[in-house]
Amino acid sequence: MIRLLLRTSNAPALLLIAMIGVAIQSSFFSFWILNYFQPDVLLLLVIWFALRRPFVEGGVLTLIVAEIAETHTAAPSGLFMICYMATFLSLRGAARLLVIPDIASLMLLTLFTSVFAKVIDMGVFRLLGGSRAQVQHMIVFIFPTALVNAMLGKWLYRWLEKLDWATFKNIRAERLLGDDLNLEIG
Amino acid sequence: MVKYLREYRFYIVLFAFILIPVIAIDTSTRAPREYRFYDKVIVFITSPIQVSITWTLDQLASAFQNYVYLLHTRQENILLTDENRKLLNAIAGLRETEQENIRLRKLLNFEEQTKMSAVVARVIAKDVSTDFRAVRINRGENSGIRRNMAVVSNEGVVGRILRTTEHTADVVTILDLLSAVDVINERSRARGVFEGLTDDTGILRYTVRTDDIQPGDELISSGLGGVFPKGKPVGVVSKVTKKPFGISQDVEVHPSVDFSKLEEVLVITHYETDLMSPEKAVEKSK
Repeated sequence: MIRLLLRTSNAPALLLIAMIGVAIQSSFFSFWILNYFQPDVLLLLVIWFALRRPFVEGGVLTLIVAEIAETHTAAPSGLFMICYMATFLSLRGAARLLVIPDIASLMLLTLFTSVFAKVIDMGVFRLLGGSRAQVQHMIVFIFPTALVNAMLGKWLYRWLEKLDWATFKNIRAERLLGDDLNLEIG
Repeated sequence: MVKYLREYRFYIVLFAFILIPVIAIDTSTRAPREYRFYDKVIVFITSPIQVSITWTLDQLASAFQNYVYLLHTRQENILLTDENRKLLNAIAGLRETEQENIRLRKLLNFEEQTKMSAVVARVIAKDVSTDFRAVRINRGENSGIRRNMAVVSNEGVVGRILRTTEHTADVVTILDLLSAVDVINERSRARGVFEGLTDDTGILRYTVRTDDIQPGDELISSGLGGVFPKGKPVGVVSKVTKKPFGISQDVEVHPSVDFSKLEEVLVITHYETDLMSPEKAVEKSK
């Protein structure tokens, strides 16, 4: 029973992590110089949802995470939803072809996904009437953000892995939980 | 029916996932949205964390700065005393100009009176995206702050209130793409609209090629639109490019406010200008 409760608490815990992450991102990295190395914590979570969650659960979590982002920005409403959902769906599709054996390959995937997400961001922004100079300004931030995301991902993914273990959301942990339940029934 | 729903569940969910963001972006382009109930819950959780992080970093930065500044205090004191002498002379000259101004206004038979009340607020966070330039302040509806109120600092115009909660408010700065400020060139009185471009530059739009605009010219708010009070510094012209064709000119502007070091701001909660009689103006000046 406790294990099932822990499993249910996984999604709220992830959303709480998203909110704490976005608070740190918008306050700590608001200082000059640090601003150029601002990570996108929510994008890292979207990557995690795309790779480690079922389709419906991951998609719903992605929409909620995008909503969290939109309460902390002056960007046109819906921009983050489009950007994160496109990233989620693309990564979900690509995950069928990709082999991610270790954390290094996950970091590499994060690096490319960050660039991809930014390109989508720029595209949608341009369609909404953003000027060329502003798009050029966005380009300046593409690679620093992607690098920081990849580096931060190394720790964040490990913590998320531990959280999944602790809340029985991990596939192996799920099997253990299933075995236990079977034993209880038996 | 249920059978088909089950069979095509994946495609239905996929369609919903694509449709929701499209609807969100479509509705937002028609009317900029306010915070909904769940948005306020999110801000209620995140803003205390933002306040504590900003406070801790401010304390650390000020402790470090106090130590560094102490090393140069004597030198700075000499420089400031010298500057103070010069400023006292300038003030004496300005008093004379003020008196002359009152006399001329009396001759023109009008005086502009400004009534203004404001709330001091602290910047607690910046935009979560590096591409947009909003800031969050630690005062909200409980302090009388409402949407579209002007936000200024001692350096000039900062922006306007985008949306509010009870204890916080989001300010869209003049450098953001959502902003446009009607400005006047202080020297030549040429008009234009200031729009943000990057983190430290903006452009002046709708200026005619024949308008007299030079690098170094100061731009002030015109008061048109009723959001920003008249006469507040907006920026300084940094570059003027006149193409050999066309009717406009490209004017690059450096904002008066240093947004990278913005800490405290003033939200103008009440602002009105009206004309008052010259007698009253003279009485006020006495």
